[in-house]
Amino acid sequence: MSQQVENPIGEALSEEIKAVVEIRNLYGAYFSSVDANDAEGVGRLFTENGVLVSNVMGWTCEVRKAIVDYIDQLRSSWTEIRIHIASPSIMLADASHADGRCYFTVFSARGIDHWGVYTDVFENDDGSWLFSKRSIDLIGRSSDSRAGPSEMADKDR
Amino acid sequence: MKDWQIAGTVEIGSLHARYVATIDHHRAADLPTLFTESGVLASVITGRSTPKSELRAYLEDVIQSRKEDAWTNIRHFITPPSINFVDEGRATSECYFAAFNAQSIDHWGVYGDVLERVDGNWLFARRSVEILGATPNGWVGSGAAVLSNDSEL
Repeated sequence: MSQQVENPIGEALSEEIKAVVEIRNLYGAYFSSVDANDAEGVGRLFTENGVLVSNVMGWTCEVRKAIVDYIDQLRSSWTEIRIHIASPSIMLADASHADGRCYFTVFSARGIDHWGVYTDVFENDDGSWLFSKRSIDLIGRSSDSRAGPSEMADKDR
Repeated sequence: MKDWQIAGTVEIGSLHARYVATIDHHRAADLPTLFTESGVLASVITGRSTPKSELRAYLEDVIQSRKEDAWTNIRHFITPPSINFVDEGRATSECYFAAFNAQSIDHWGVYGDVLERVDGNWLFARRSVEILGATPNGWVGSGAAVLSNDSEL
């Protein structure tokens, strides 16, 4: 099914618009991959030397492989939660660098589990926008939430 | 991403927003216009699929089931979607929702979509609704919703 696609926002999409849409897609791909426990898929959203800093769980992952291992370890046993993200704020620095910020609310079957904010640095790596750094900060949590540094410490025992 | 994917991403995001505006503002006559001719709204929990021809009556029944004042105007907060394009005319998408009544969060869950581009417009070929949680005394959690768990919008 191939159709002539009319561009609804002008004859030629500006590079800025393309970048913003692609980065918004990256936000969507992140929650979808994490919640599916697709750790390899999450890893592909980061640059090879990407960094994930979870100030929620007290954990820092440097390079893609560490991020994959972290997501797999964390979400293989914590499957019932879903990450609801708000609309992100995206600021382009130049053709290959951008920053972003986005609030999130994590729901379980019991309700809101915890909430916070993502602070992101993006790089255009060979035509694709990827996370070069994602920091996750907690704003609040329910009294029975598993979110917190003890969760990862428990897994190390 | 190619230009048609960029354009499609914007259009599909707009379709998601129009769906919410349609159901939250009780525009039952408009709901079928968001679906392809063979499009369906499906409940993951009950397995029921409502075809396009029955969507208007379905939304009217759902609205009628909101007997408490606090349930009259339920509002759906949706997340930006995750979209995957199959080709220039087909895509899938996923987004989460949290529905609020006048007093609290009422219920929350996930929309899973199959989308088709028809005459230049992206439409739902299938929208599945899965509820992942509900507040016990809310419209869904209390069991007041029409057809029990089937009234997921």
